[in-house]
Amino acid sequence: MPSAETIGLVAAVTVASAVEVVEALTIVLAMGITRGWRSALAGALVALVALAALTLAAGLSLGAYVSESLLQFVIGALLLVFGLQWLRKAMLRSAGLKAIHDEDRIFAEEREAARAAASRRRFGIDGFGFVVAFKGVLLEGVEVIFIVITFGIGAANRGVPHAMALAAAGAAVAALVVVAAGAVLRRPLAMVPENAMKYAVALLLSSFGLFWVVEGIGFFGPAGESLQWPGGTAALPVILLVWIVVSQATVALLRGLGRGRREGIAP
Amino acid sequence: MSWARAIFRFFYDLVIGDSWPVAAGVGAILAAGVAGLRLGAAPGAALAVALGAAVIVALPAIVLAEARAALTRDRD
Repeated sequence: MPSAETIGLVAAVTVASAVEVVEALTIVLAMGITRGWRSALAGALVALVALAALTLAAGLSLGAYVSESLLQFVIGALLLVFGLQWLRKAMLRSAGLKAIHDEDRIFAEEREAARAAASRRRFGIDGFGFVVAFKGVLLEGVEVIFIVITFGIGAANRGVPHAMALAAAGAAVAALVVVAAGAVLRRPLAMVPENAMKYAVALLLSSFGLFWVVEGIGFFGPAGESLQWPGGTAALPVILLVWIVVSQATVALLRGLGRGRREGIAP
Repeated sequence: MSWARAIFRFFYDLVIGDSWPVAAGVGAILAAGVAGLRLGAAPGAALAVALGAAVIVALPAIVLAEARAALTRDRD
């Protein structure tokens, strides 16, 4: 029976990666349809190669040069800040104070920009389509790698078996499913409940981040040992539950504040 | 130089994002936690709960303050 931490690790990485791949797919589809598939796929492929090199370099250097407890603190802090940013946006969206993420609208904007851009071809590749697809896949891909590495190393330090492999597998499954769906439909995956998924990921990132960073803060104490939450790992689902309750209460308060003023107050 | 700026911008967006008070708030709470730990202010488990509670209270406080400020600006 997998532990709560293992299930949480795989779920968080899979859902978070799916959200990022949906965003990258929208850009590649827009470029493929308007500027040609050869340029869009070449840009995406070169970005994937760059991402593979980045993952290898980051994984090797983190494992070799950073102490375990400090790593727990740094990873926890990054996950927490990253997760809180997502949670803040999710609460504002739920309260109607920030525009809902709309893949159809983003796709239309990318497609119009691509149609308006001048065509400069080299070696049979359209420069605009290549660069935009490359940047889209690279930027969203770095976020996936950030999530895989931080969750993988953090869970490995807590003794979760094959944590890095599980994290990478979660991301790979998410990418395969999303890309396969995009290839069949040839349109952005607007029906994916992206905003609900982002809220779920934000809750998981914030819970794991808070759990790990508080443990890792023990690195700075006189003994240099991790702090212990009451109940150990059992504290993790409790933290998640508290985040759910607090975020829902905040959304209710925000709705009260924003009554009569629906959208666009937040960046 | 433009690559360095782009990389800085990317990580700034990733970690700080649209709301620097969230990152600053977390930084302040963690700094207080380190100070509390070094001073032996509380047993480890109590300090862990106190830090967790501080972060969980800080986020809604910051978001609500930002929303109030934005709505006030909007009305003026």
